[in-house]
Amino acid sequence: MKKSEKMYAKLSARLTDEEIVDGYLFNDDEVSAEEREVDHQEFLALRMKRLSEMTEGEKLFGRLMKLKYRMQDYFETKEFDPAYSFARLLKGYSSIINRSNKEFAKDLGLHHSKLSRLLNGKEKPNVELMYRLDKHSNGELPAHYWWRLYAKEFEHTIMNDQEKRAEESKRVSNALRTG
Amino acid sequence: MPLKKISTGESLPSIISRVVNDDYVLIDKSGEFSFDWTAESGNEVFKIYLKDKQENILGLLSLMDYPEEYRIHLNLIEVGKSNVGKKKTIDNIAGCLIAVACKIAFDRDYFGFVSLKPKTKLISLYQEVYGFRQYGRLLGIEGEGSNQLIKKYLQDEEE
Repeated sequence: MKKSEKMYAKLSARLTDEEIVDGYLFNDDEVSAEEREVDHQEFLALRMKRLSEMTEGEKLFGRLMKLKYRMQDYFETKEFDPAYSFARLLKGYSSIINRSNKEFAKDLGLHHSKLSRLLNGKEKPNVELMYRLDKHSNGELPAHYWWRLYAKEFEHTIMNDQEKRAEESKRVSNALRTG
Repeated sequence: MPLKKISTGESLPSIISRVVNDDYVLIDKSGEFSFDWTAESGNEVFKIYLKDKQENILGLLSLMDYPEEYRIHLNLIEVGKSNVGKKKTIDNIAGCLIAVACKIAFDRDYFGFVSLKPKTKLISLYQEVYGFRQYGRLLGIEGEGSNQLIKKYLQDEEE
């Protein structure tokens, strides 16, 4: 008796098929090596056919989900990561949608030079842009995701910009004395 | 919905992470798992546990990556005995593990494609419960189907 059959027999002695599916997933190894190869070739042909028939929209969806889930995982982390700066992710988004920067700027109702500054991190994004990106991504990358990205980056900047801190400190007088 | 306490319906915060060498001893000693998980150590193996209860592994997942076929294969999933069948106290453990595989399949540019090769007798149930489709003798899920599993099992409703 093959391993999977043995395990199935053991499990089905105390569980229904529904309960087995709810708790286990194991490969069927009841077929011979030759049959397994036939199964694999059949699967491969179907898989390759499916890949060749995928629409641009389906491919775009896959790339969009990759970006979305990477963003979500990043939100779970504590530290700012330059690879997840607003500009880098905007660049990432612009590359997956497969449109020129000129077209992308037009889509967002921006001048292309403004988009270029945003993509290069030379200009700070505003909330209006975040709503536009939300709409542009059909809601898959909501405005608050872009905000969270930028907020994390901005927090890092505020905490580490010693030059600005020193400069602004000079403008303050009569600071509170605590303790 | 993520892991759920059956008695109250409340969501239970959980963590899914890679199994490290020390875990195999823990898995073996726990008496919760029937499969030989050390045999899976050559694959990518993940564990799920409740936040702050790292020592209590609730379920395990073994994946195989087939980059040339643009897919992640679910080689083995096992939920700990305490949460299988009529006496289980926590729901959705296997669903969460399958959803993690879907997420990995998006991340590796496979368009969310995840495959499995279950016993013939169980094929229709995996299709019914998780939405897998048949590809010859294998089952597969991708795209929006995979995304739905991620939404259902890995995300809180407000996300």
